[in-house]
Amino acid sequence: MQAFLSQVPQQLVNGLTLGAVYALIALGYSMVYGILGLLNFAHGDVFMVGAFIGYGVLNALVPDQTPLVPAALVIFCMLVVTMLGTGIIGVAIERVAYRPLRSAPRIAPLISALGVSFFLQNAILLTQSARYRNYRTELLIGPRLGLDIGSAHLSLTRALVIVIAVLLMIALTYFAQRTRLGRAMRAVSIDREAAAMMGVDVDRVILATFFIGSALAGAAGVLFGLVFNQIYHFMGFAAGLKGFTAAVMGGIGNIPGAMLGGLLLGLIETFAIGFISPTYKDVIAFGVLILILLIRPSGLLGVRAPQKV
Amino acid sequence: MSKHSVSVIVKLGSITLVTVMLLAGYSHQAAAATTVKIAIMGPFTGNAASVGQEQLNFAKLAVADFNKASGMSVQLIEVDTQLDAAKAVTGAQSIVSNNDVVGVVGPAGSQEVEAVSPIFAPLNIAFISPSATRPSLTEKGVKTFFRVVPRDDVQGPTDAMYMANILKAKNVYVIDDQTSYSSGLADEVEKTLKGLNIPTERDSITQKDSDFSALVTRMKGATPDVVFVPFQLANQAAQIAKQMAEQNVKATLFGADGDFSPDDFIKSAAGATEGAFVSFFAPDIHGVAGAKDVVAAYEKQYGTFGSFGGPSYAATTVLLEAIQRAAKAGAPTRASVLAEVAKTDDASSILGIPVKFDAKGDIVGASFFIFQVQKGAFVLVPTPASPTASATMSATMAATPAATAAN
Repeated sequence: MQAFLSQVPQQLVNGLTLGAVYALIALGYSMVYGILGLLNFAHGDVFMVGAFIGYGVLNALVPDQTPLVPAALVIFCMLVVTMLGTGIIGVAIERVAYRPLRSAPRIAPLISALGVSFFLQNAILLTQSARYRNYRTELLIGPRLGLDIGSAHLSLTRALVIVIAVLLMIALTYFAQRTRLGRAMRAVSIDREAAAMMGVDVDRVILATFFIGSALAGAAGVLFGLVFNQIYHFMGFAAGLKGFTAAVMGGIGNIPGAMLGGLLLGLIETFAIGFISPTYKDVIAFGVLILILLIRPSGLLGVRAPQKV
Repeated sequence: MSKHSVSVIVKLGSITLVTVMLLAGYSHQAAAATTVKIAIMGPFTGNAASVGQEQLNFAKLAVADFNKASGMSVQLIEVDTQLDAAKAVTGAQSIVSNNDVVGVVGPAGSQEVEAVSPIFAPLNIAFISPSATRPSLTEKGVKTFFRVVPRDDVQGPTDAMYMANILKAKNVYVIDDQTSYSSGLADEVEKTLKGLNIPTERDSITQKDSDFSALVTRMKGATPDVVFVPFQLANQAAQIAKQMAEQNVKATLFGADGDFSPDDFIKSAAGATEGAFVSFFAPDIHGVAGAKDVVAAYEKQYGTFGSFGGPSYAATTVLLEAIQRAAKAGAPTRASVLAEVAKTDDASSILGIPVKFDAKGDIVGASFFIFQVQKGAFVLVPTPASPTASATMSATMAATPAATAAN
């Protein structure tokens, strides 16, 4: 029991790191679903592309063993370039793959999303090969730096990842609650037609949603690369599935719900590995998801959507 | 495309050669007049292309060396299987329909060997794999299959004995990646360690996982001194090593086969795998005295290489020497070559060990080799426990014949 309890602080650190990444992915999933009612299956692959863009920026600014500019600036550039890049990719995906199908039956954009997913995976496979790539985080942040809290070790990298993710989530919350565009976004997600009648430019709101959601996924990709290092062309599949699970757990379409769902999923997985069995971590995570949906069918913070007739 | 044109040129060349010989009335020597061909099956393209290309180039070198030394002109036919059993079957059918082919090097993967056995065996075609290690392959009475590499069921005991005797392990944490290869080997190691009264813990991951920090925290609670990670994807083992360093877990990492990758196991770990061990089915022939000329010739022609090439050269040489011996009694046929392959008895080989097959087609006295990461490179370390290991191995095998089918 003692040995078990001594694990808890470290597992909290592990779980929060993983959960922060999941939460950022879940946000994009949830926002797009909230606005369009569309499961954007390409979202995980946008995350993957983001990880590769960040990798490119990292290698450009750290061509050899020493960074050309201060490490903090390198990380800042990685995040900014990647978020802009994946944001633009998200907008392009919306224009090319979803907008032409907006009035089509619901299954059509779903298939289109799968197509985009395959396209992105294979584009990276062809240009970057199937090899695993490594973020050389150790050149930016010393691997030994960090805090020892009792038996737990919080590395500087993990602390940074958690802080950046939380800052991004605070910024998003402010944007959604306090800005005009954010208010328009919430209006469209509640009722698209009514919002349009009130003079909201729905197309612009949808584009903004894709831009922000994809930018967050890109940021998640960079943070994932910084903390877990290894990236490859197929990583978006598992990550997308986790992001989707987190979004559903928290209540899909709901922004605070996605954050809560992500953190919770990360913690559940970590504690399942630490205290039950690594082999059954997914079984346990999905078991909890089913349990939550049985008790609250629209997720933890979800509100029952009124049936539109 | 270039492969096509090359083979066309080779064919045209051989036709011209035969015609010239016939015109010159040069036909009293049967072995020279008929074309003797051998085939090599391997993953020359696809995911495992780096392995297959190394096997192919070493086979080419072996054929060139042999032709020069013997004065014969054996030709090598390339059959690409992409490590896929279905493609291996198609390739095997094209081989049997070519009557000039008297023997085969390959296929590379155990699943492929299993698939082509029913095609080659009835036609008495000897096929010698340079890399298939699944124990069951030689347990099914396929009379024409041979291999120049050891079986997986030698590996588990070898690794476990090394942990016990050399590393003095008190507590071993065993993690598999849920593939049949990995869990089979993990089972073997656990069984041997339990037999030696060394406590083990067992967990598994999947090949999709990229974060092992929670597992490392769990591991830390068990305070192991050796962590066994027989994964197919070396980068996952490297990731575990990195996260062990992050959480200050000081156990020795021990990998197998798939982890034997300088790029993914050493470079990507950024120093975290320094001092780790990996067991592999072939020696590093850079360090074998008898292989010096071959290594130099290969590096001159093809560049650097890993550990898959040596067995390929050895397998090709076994087949070629069998053809040479068979040719003394007339034109080599599939049956006469097969008989000679079975009689192979080389005192030395490029692998630094004698080559002799037992009745099942396994190489006698083959062992696994253990490497340690030293200063960022795999270095072969001596395994003084080998005799004990093989003794334990035969004991284990006698006790549980069924266990050998697991992998």
